[in-house]
Amino acid sequence: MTDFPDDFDGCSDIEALVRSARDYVRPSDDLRPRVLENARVMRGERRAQRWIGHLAVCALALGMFAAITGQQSKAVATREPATALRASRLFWNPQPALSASDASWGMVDSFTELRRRQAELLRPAL
Amino acid sequence: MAGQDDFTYRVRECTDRLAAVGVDALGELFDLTSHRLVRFAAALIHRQHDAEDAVQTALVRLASEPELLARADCPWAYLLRMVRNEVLATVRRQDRCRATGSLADLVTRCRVDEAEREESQRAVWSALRTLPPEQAEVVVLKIWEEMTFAQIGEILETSPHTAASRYQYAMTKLTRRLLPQQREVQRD
Repeated sequence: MTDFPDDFDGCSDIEALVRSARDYVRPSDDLRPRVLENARVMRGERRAQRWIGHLAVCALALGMFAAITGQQSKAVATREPATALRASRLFWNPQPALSASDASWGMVDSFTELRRRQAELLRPAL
Repeated sequence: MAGQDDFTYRVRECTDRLAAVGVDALGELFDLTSHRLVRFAAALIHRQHDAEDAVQTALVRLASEPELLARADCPWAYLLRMVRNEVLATVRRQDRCRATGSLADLVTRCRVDEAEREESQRAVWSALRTLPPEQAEVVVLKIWEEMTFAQIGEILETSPHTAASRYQYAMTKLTRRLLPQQREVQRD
């Protein structure tokens, strides 16, 4: 790879002449402030972009959270009446089985009736 | 060469600081490198204003993404390549890279007692600007930046052999243009 010379013979005079001209050209006086000013403006723009990006991510996360929470509460709200209705059907019997004169047989009747209603309610689920 | 190593080390320090502190450390990097970057770009693009724009674009980009240089093996070589890419982009956009021989665009600083020296420096720059950019950049990197052909090849994304060959062609042309003038100066 290194079979080429880094020094060429016969060019040393010209190389020296070229070397002597290396400080001839200078940056103009306004270049430094221009570069620094542009860099600061660019930094400000980047910061603003980053801030806007973070804000957008936060808004998106908040929106998603609100949407999920809303859906859950709606699902709970729609589920609650059905459960309550089923419970009231079970435990609030409009026709209490107390027709028998004996109180103990009345207890048995109402328990049998409760089991029957339970079976009625659970059957569709099967 | 030791001076070049020291310079490369100082550029590394500056870029590390830039990565740590941000834009506030850019002034230091500018003071260290702007002269070299501008003369490199001015040798390629033939208009100092465009050369400075290329340097500015590269440095501003660097200030917003300092990790680019911090990650580089040799930040100085990377910085030169960034400026070169900006110059080439400008050349492609404007197609201005035409050798005019005029040096009116250059910002120079020369003391009154160095009038004779200025003459030879102007001659060098005029001759340099007659070279194709791919030869001029090799001359600048080899003589002014004291790089080896292997290093030049890395910056220009070409083989060291190609860089050496371009340098040989360039030196032949420069010799043809500058030697008679130099002999004249020596005779006087």
